Amino acid sequence: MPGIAPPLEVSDLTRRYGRFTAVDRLSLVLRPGEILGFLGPNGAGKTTTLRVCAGLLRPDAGEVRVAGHSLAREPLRARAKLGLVPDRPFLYERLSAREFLEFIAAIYEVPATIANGRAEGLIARLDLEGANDLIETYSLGARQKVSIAAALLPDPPLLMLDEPLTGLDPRAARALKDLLRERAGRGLGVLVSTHLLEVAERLCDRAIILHHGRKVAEGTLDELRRAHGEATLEDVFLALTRESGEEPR
Amino acid sequence: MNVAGVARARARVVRNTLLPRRGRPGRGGRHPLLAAVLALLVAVLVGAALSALFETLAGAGATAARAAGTLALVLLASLAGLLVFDLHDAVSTLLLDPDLELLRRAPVPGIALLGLKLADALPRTSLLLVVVAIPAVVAFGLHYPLPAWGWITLPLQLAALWAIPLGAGTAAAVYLLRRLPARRAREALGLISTLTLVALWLANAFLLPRLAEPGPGLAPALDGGRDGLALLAAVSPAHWLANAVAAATAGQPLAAAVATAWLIVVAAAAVALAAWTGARHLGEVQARLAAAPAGRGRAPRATRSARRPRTMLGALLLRDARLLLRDWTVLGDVLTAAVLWTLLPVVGATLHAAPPALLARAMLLALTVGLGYEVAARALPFEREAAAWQRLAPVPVGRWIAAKLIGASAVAAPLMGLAAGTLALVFPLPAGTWPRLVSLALSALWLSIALGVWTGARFGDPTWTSPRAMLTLAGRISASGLLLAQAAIWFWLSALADIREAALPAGIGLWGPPLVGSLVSLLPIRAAMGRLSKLES
Repeated sequence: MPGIAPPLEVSDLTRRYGRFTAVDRLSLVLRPGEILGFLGPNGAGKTTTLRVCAGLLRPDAGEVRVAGHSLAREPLRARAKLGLVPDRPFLYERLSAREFLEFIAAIYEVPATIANGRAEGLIARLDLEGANDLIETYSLGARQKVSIAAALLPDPPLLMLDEPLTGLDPRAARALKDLLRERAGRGLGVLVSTHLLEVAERLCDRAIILHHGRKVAEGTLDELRRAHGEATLEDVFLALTRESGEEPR
Repeated sequence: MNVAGVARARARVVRNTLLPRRGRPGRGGRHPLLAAVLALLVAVLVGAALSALFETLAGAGATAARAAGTLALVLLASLAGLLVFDLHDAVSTLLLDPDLELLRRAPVPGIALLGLKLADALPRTSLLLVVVAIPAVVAFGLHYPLPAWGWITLPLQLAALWAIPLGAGTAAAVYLLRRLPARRAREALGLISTLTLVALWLANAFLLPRLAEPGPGLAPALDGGRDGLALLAAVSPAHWLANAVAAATAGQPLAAAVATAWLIVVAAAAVALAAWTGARHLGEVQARLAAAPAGRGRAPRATRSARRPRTMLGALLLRDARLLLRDWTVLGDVLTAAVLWTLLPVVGATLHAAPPALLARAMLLALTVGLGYEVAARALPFEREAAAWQRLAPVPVGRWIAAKLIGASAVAAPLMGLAAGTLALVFPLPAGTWPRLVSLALSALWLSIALGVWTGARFGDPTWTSPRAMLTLAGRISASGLLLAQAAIWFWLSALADIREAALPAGIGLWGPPLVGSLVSLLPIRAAMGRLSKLES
């Protein structure tokens, strides 16, 4: 889609915790209408990258641009264009799901009439029961549904999800995948961090494999398989993330 | 269970907590070493204050046996506090500790799990012992000299005093969790902890200063206290410890040994009761908790209201109002604390008669600076980890802080209005005094709220479990120092304005405080904004 700024551009991003480098000179571009899988073993730097891209952590070097806006120089414009489903949901325990979504709509300045329709639509599609009950009474899956609905409510050009299927039942997981596909169909960008390779294979148009904070592979799933001469994404993943001294499978 | 292996693992946890390694930061931003140093500092302060008290008593000719009555009251207060706080901590530990799930799944007997968790809770359950009981006994020993064997037996006696409430509190916690929904038990205990704190504060504020008042009132006060509390003295471990110390001072080893024996027997019984209750009921409690994770109780429904925020600021305020009104432990704590702070100056007034206008001013100032700590400092950490929306959503940091300032003012101003109204009834001051007093109080309140919001941004602990501990320990102690400094400076400035009124510009008593308050408050507001914009999640 020429002329439209990519939902996410990351250039030479580095983030350290003390002497430990969690993300090392990472660059990536998420194109409009694309679902990009962000894969890697535990501790590879996936969550750190997503948190830096969402503005929750500051980068030590590099730049993040969201829908053409620099997160460092135009933070409010950039934040207005992104939604995040974090690994641990940020919820107010003593609000109901409806009140929480109402609050999110207000701080993202979504007009009330539009917000109401979207909130009810998301509650119905994600099958969120007890939307008037306080969130403190919710199960893990119900909390994840509220977190997903909150990220989707402002309908941002960029949606980032960190292990989004955690706690979801098969019906809700299917509903989420459909929602993500629909968003991509409307030209919006989706970045999904997961270690579930079958989810990545079914859902993503392209994938990036991260290892020790560095990008070790990028491409469509076919490109990755061909480039590394492996039959499945799992084989590619295991070959690329093998530790030194570890025997090949 | 491999006891040596478990002990090694727990020792590593303690070491890594006290001396964090470089690498990924932990959550919560706590500084345990700083907290320990500050706790020791408080212990020294308490010790110094009690040393002055015992010095006064010794100087007035009170015998060791008489002064031991005062020591017993201080120890009794510690004991009551330990009991309630241990109960609260035991319930919180059994409900909320992050490694509970891991331990429940491990092949660890229930009673061993209880022992492990109580060992983990050691720093929390021994705080009152460190900052009150030990300094009190040491202060007593300085002015009523103990023989060497008296000092040697002290650790054993203090350990027994610590074990009694721990055993009883643990047994009561297991029993409570069998009967009540977990969340209700924790909330109720939180409120009971607050009320106990108030009771201890009032006892400390009104009783001890009277005992130290010089003059003929001392001996009757001590004897009256002893007579009135004779039954309590017979059954109170705090009195046994005080009697043992007094007997050691008087060179009566047999009496000291009898009192110490009572302490040890009751401590052993309390620990045995905890072990028996744990062995018998802990499995059942753990099964209940596993079926209903922490925070889950009956499903209350939010009342569906027609109120809809029309602006971003309105949404922030409505959210805060809903959160506060639905958390009755925090709300109860704020209201109780407001009463406590208003009473603070009355303590001094009982010893040194003050003119009503001065006393009313001091009471209002104490309340205003107290509200900054009690209301405003909690405004940010109250949001827990959901405060991350401040960094995630497209909300200018100034608007988030503005909402906190307005929200805290909306809670604090009615409380101050109520206090001012009560004072107006109690102290019939000339009408001309009130405009200046209100101007001073409102200015102090605004600055105090600004400082409170900064304190919350700087020291807030998003993982808090007790409403009285939304700031880290270092934060609570720093905030206490800050509010004492505020009260002192405002009081000094207003007194100076009274004395030099003729030499100062006309009406300074009306416009001076708002000018000072609003200008100085810009500093903490800017600092809070800077802190929020740099916070990471």
